[in-house]
Amino acid sequence: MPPQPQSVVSTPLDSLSYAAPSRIRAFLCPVGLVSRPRFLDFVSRLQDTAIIRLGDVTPDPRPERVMFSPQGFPDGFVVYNFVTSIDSHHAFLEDLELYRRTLAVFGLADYNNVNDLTDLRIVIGALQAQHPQALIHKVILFDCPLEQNELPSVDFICVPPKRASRITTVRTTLCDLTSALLAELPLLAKAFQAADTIASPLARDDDYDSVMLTSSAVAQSRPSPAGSTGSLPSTINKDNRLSYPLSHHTERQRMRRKGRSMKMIANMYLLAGRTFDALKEYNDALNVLKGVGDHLWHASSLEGIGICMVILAHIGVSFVIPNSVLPPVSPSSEKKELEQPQLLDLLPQMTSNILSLYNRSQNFPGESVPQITYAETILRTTNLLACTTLAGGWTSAARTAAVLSRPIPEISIPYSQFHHAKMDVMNWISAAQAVRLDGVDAVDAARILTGVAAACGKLGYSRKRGFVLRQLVLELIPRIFQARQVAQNRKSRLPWSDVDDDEYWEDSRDVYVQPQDLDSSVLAVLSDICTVYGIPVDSTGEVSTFGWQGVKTSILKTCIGLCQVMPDFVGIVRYTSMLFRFSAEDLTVDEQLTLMRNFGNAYTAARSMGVQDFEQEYWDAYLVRDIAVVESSLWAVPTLVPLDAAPSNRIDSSGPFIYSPFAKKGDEEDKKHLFVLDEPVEFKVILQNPFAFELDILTMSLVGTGTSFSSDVISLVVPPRKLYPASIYLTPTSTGVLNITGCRFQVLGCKETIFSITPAQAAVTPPVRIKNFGLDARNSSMVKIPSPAFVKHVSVEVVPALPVLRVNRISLPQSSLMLLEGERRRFVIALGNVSETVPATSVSLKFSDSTTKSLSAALQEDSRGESDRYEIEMFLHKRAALRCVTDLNGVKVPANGEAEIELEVLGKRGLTSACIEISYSHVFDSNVVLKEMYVRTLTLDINVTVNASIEVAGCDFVPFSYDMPMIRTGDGKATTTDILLKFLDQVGIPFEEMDNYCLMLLDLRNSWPSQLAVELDSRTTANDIHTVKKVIQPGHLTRLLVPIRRISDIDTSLPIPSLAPPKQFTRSDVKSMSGDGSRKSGLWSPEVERTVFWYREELLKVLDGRWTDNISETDGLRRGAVELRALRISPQMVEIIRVDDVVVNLSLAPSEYNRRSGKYHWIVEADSFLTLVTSVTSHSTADSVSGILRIQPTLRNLPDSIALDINRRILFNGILQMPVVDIKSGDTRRVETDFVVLVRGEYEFLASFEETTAGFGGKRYIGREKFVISVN
Amino acid sequence: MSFYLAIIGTRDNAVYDLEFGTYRQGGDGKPKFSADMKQLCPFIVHSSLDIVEEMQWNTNVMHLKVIDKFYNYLISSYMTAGNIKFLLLHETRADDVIRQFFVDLHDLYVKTLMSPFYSVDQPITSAVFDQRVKMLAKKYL
Repeated sequence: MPPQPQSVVSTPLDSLSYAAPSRIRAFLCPVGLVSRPRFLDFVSRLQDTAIIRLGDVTPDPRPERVMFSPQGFPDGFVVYNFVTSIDSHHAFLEDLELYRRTLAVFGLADYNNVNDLTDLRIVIGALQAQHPQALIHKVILFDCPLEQNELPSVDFICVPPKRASRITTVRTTLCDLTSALLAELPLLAKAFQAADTIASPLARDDDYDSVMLTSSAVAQSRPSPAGSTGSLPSTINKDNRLSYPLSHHTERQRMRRKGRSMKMIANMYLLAGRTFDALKEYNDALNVLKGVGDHLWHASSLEGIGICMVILAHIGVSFVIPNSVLPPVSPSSEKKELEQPQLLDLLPQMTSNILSLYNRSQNFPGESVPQITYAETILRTTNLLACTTLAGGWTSAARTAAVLSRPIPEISIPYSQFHHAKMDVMNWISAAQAVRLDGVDAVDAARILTGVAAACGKLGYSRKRGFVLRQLVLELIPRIFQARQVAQNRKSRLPWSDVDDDEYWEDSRDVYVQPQDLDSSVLAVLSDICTVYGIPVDSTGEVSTFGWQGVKTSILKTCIGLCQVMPDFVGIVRYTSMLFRFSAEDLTVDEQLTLMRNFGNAYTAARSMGVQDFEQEYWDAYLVRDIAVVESSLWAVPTLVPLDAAPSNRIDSSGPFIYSPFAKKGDEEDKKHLFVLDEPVEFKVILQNPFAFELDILTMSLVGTGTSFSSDVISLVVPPRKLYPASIYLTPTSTGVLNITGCRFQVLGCKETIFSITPAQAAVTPPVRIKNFGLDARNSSMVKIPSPAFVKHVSVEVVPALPVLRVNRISLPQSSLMLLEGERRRFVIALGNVSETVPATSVSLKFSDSTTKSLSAALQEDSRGESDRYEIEMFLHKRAALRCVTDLNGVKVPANGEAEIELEVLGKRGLTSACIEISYSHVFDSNVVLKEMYVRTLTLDINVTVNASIEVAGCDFVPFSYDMPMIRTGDGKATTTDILLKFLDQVGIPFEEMDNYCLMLLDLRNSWPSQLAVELDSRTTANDIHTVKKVIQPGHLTRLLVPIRRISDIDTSLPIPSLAPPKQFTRSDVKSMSGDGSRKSGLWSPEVERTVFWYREELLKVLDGRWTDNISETDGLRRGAVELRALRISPQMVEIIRVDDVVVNLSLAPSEYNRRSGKYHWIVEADSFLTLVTSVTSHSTADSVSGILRIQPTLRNLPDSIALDINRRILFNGILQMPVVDIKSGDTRRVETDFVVLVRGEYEFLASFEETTAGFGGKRYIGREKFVISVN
Repeated sequence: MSFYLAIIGTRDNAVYDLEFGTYRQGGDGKPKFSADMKQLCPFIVHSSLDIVEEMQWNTNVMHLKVIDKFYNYLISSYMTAGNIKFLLLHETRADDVIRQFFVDLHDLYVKTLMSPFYSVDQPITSAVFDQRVKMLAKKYL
């Protein structure tokens, strides 16, 4: 028995074209072993030659078979409608519409697979038994090299292989077959003519004669859908109808029978291509049927006339339009040959008549029109009108299209004409749409609706077409469901309800639609509907802004509904994905859960059936909201350190502007993450699940561009309605820049897809500019999601392998120690290398401590004077709390090894903790000069307690003066002079040199609870150091006397320096010029402050203090430095310390009349000639000094009013003031003045030098020591 | 009598839609569509867009009158200069009244369009617009 092909091969001839009833239905079935593609190839070869001109057909010579001889109308043609399935469904219509009957059955055999031709004889028998209603049963042997006469039977037809055959070979074969068929037709005609009665399609045997039926019975009398009629062999029907007893016939019925049989003959003429005869027979039948009021057959004949006229018009033969079809108002001439455009006007009118006749037939039960016939009549007319509309009128193209379903070439038609024609067609379409589908079974409903849809499509009304197709789907869903229910005998269940029990899915597999069938069938229809409503079928990373959201949701639900009843698992998966993608926000929680459950079931079912590659992309494009690097506590993140000498933010000192707003800020640079080769890095991936169901992610891995890496693959479940952080590791496998662009996911039931990082879910905004309207806008409405502007990526740099160091040991107990202020202590840290392969070859240290913060804060205060600021900067930058003792160049930590580093910590006031940053790296080739290096940093904190030790409580300076009273007390106690002399002797200062020194009184307090020995060094010359030692008891304040060499050659005009990097600032000069006490910062004017600053700096250079705790031996010997920077000096003290720029010295030229009693004390005789020698020495930093020297003699120890009256007491030779010019720096100028003292007594001489170099108001220098002359 | 009004943008997208009933003949302004019809309304209106698209080039007036029908329902259309379609599904033919309704609706739409916070094809969510459309419906239909 030949196998039934499962799928329907689409016929190239439109089954709803106007002339479709003129085609002979021929059933093709494979015979023997024929592969599917071979079979389809054979079918298409036959279909290519489906139109056979009667002129080519050899007539049958037998005289009884000449009724339908092709010679009757050689211009006519037979058109085959090749089908590959039997439409047993419409068998009840075959009498009324003969074209529905399968008249020929052709078995198609592949000669290459045929072993024994005799076997095929059995096949012929089987075909005959199976299709008894067919007139001929033949087997066509394709690729058969044999000649026809070599074949065992005439039922075998031979078609040579394609190579050996000419173009006309298949046509010739078909002509032969047509000849055989036409020879068989007269037998059928005779059978009809001989039949007692010919029944209407809806007539039932028992009520055929009972005319009076209630209208409610009409509906019942219609064939029940899907089964009863279809399952009955059509022959039984026919035989039953034909075998009605003659005695029942009245005259009316006899005429009716006659009319009907004439109509049948006309049908056969039409099929046989004898159109003229058909027209004539139809007309005769029409007249008979009209007379007996057989509306159904009357209408059918009328339709036949229309078809005949169209075919004749197509052939181009002139013919006469029967009077009976002309409208009554038409001209009264007997028979008129109508112009063809008038024929076009006539045809719709005829169809209207047909429809009204059909409607009238509804009143006669058993004679009423079947819905399918009614609807197809409308659709055929619609089709005809559509063809003429598209062809621009009743052109030959339109006629060819109507008769032979040939495509119409595109032409341009005046718009208004086109539009009106289309509107006419639309009216017919509406009429077809209005056909009620209540009692119609699924197949007919589908046929009618697809017909309507096709007509809409032809006119270019794709939305209307979509609407009709949706209606079709909605019509089909309950019918298919019902059919399945009947088949499976299951309890009632609504198609929309949640079909979640496993049994349903199990059962569904039996009737599951095979995926290969879907390409051309259901899925294609659904895709088509979706496209019209703006749901892109293949949207990868794009979303359409086209369409009506609510409508889209509804359409997708409909699609899912159809797929569920089919059941089509792939379709369920596909449309559920799409629904979630496009309309998730329109779904309720329950709907989402139900859809997801069905989705999961369908997916599992499809997978278990072995369907491949049907998954869709996961629907939420914003799955990955963020990816961030997690700082590892195990692996320190390396940093990039520049190694070249110039600091990265070097300041161009050539201009006055230090601050440049365009310079790159240092903070913004180090944003890039650095990864180390072969070390795993953790990423935190924020996933979103806005849906109401749990998201089952089967695999998730990171993807990126740049260097290679290996990512972990993890699986996880994202809870519903959550932003969920997932942790995933990645290991870079080569160095370079790595961009993490997103993640690759496989969500359960979805295709593996890569998702970009989209921190913000931007609203999908359609393009602003409107360039197309309506359906044309579909393509331009695609918006990429996520929008590239919102996609971010994480950029990291992978650096070469680096070691990992740990602090193995530290020589401090619990990393803490106690220090006295100024004390230094050393400790050792041992660094261990954890890395197995990489040694640490470069180690550097960086320190910070707790004082830094407070000092930096203090530095920010505006109100400080410059010297205070310098002081703070000094402590911040120069007094480092920590120092490395070990030479770091030699420190290398081998892989898995250890190295020690010795550090020194200084007890600094305010120090509570210190931080050691150990930066280390691995330099592969030490010969290469690196510009920058990747380092890792290890931080070590130590706690420090600093206690006060020796503090500077205060200081003062006393000049050494020769003016001290030189008295020796009688009681033998040491006088001041003695003490002074003794002290000078101790510190090794010669008495004569005494005025080059001064004495510092330094008060030191011991704040430590045990005694401390203090040593204070004072450098007097380059080689001499005077050391003062003292032991200070706890809590005691002790004054130390320290000789200081007076300081000269200090340029106090230099500004106070700053140790901090330079800052751009504007200085308000107005404020500082205003002078008086308004200057907040500092007590003194800037000049004085500068002077004090520089002398203090000089002083601190020559001083050095140490203390030793030689008493308490518990923690070993403590020693440390005295913090002398606590010294505060005033301008008055500076006057004592400094050596004046210009020193004026007085002395007498030695002579017999004078003798010296002290350094500045002379005893002279009265009335003797003396010479006063004034020496002016310049210590100034200026090149030369000029000025006026003044000498002022006074009487000693007398009030000023008398003291200055010396005119009569001393005679001077010359004047007492004179210019002294151009004294080079370091030079001494001597000025000699002769004088005679007339009156005895004690005189004092004062000399002063007033500088004039700098113009008016120059500095005045006065001799430091009083020059005294005692005159005897 | 029940009405269904939809304003369709240039991309077949519904900018606004509303179901309402008549206040004439003792109506209470509530739509009386059956459940099926309620679901079908958007589809019917959508399928008429084909005709609107064709009509728009065939006339120079904005009111296209009744352009389509579905069973007993008629669809009237009005097209603005910016290719925004007003479609009204109704049951009886009343071209003049519907024209007035559309003209006033156009006025409302243009006012909405002038809002700096509204751009073409965005759904109209303004409650005031909604209220005014309902008032127009009460006035004319």
